[in-house]
Amino acid sequence: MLAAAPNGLVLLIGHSHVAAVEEAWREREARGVAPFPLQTVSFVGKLAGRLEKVGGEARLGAGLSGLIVSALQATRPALVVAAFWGGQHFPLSAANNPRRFDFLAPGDDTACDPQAELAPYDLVEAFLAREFVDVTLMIAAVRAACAAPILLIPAPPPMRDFVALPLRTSDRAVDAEIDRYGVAPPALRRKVWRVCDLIYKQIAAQTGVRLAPTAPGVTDAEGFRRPQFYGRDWIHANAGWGALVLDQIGGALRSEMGR
Amino acid sequence: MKRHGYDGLPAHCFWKDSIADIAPAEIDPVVRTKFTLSPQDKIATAGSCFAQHISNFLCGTGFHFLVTESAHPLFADQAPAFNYGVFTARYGNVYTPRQWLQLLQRAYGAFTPAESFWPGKDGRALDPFRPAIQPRGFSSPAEAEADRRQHFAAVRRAVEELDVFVFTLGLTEAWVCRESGAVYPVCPGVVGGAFDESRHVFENFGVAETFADLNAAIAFVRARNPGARFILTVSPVPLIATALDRSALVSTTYSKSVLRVAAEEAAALRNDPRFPHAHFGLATLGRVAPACLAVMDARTRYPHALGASGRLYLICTLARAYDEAGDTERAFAAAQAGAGLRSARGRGDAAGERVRLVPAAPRPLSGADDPTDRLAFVFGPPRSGTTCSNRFWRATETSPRLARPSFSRHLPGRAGDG
Repeated sequence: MLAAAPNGLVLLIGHSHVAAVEEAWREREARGVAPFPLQTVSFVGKLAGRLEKVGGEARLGAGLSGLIVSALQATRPALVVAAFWGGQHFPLSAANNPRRFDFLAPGDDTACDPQAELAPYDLVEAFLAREFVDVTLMIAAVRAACAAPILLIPAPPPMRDFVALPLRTSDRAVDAEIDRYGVAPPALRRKVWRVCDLIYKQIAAQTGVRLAPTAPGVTDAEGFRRPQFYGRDWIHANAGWGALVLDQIGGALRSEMGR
Repeated sequence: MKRHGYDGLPAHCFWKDSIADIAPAEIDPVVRTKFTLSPQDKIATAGSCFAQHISNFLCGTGFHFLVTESAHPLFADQAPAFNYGVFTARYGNVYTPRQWLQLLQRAYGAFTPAESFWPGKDGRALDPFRPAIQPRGFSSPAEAEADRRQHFAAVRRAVEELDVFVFTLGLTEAWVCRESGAVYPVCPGVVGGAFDESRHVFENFGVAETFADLNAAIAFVRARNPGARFILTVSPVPLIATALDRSALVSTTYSKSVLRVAAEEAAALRNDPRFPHAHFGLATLGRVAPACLAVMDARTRYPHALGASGRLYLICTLARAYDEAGDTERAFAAAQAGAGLRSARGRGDAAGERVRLVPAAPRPLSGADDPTDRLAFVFGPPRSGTTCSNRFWRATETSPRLARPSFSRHLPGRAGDG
């Protein structure tokens, strides 16, 4: 089990949402106000074989688990910030489904789409939870390799209106669905994102890792991402969001170092 | 001349010939059926837990198992755990005819139980009338309410679209709400809810109540879907438990006996000439009761109530029924009307499609004068129209349900016959 190096380094590891946080850190570093030393390992482009089935049980692919272990060995971080995935809500809620659906989430009194059929909330949650299997496995891989605390970063909240961002969803398949069936109602995006956010919370509770809640000010009164945090496409947030996450990381680091 | 009442009866009438001396796998107690199913028939199922085997069989054998409440394809993998596709709609197990009747009535707003939902853990909700429909119930009362609305719409669609309704009777024992009379599928407190003797009462339905409920349910469906046909089955699954202080075996025997008798009597009632409803499958039922003929006759006089396909089928069925009844005049009148309708449809002539079948004034068909009790023979010399008639029947044989009459099949004394 790797012990942390004395330099208080933060390892930011994960998928595409890593970029906005890293960009915010570089801006601060350029101004000489980097809050902590940071190393970044992005899985983007290294997703092949992320999961393997062994005896009917899902395991992390050897390539991905190897990447995690080598990153931890190389950095010996004081804190691991995990931005694992964070796009699970999007394929389900970006484009209208040819058979439109909606659901009623507990505590969410948003009216259902009158043109949609009602799907059971538990069924939607179970469907999405399957998409988070490897998040749990990646956390376990980090846990197995080092003693550093883990801060889990969930996906930024959804946008209300899809503005003319040139990269759209950055996913050709989802973009094609949008072209064919139109953009799903914003309320559905928000509902699905909230289910994913809840699953992140459940995973954090089950695995005992710290979760960075959506930073105050990122969302408007209705729970959509404010336009000043829009990123390069419909799913990713910008460095402004990254800066707020950096503050959360700093708080978590101080808290952990103070123990 | 028969020596006695059993003289000359077929083998299936004798226990030794049809059961005792037959290998178990070869025993087939189904001697005849009132009607047959075609792959095009939309078949709905409901009933006790055993009924899901019927659904599975229908799915696996190429029949059209009607599902009006299916899971969204996105969630198909986990749909079975949420009871999608087990029955035509997500009503869960319907054990008693009373529960079946109340389900139908609730779907159409004709009955509202006193208890709406049972509270679950963490603000969740259970539907008292399908408490196990989802693994953990509904996430909130609001979701339960919305899902019920959608479910009732699916039940209504099933009632109005089905061709055949297969209902499997499971139990006579039930727990009932004292206040509203609503029948629960499961005793409150077993799967959810709280049992309260002041509100929940046990009932063990007898033959008369079961029979009445069955008939009421069938009539309820027929009032909304006159063409509906029914198959009643009794589940062979024993009672898990009896609420009576006696052996579960005794209660099971009682329950299955009552259900079997009620189903038999309900089925027999459908053949009763006094029974006022007719349906499109009459021609496949064998002998057609005279009053049914009269009803069919009357229905064809109001063709606008039916679609063109329905009218064509009804007219052809009627022609066949008259043929079997020996009323050749009306049979040919119906055949002629059917040919006209087919021809009009082929031409796309909407006005022509509105043909009316107005045969001669119906004669009284009852009692000893019942022509359906007599064999009818339709034959004629060459060039008299028999070939033309045959061609018509060939041409109108659009559905496997519509059997082409063989004008010579009943002729006695054919060469070679004894």
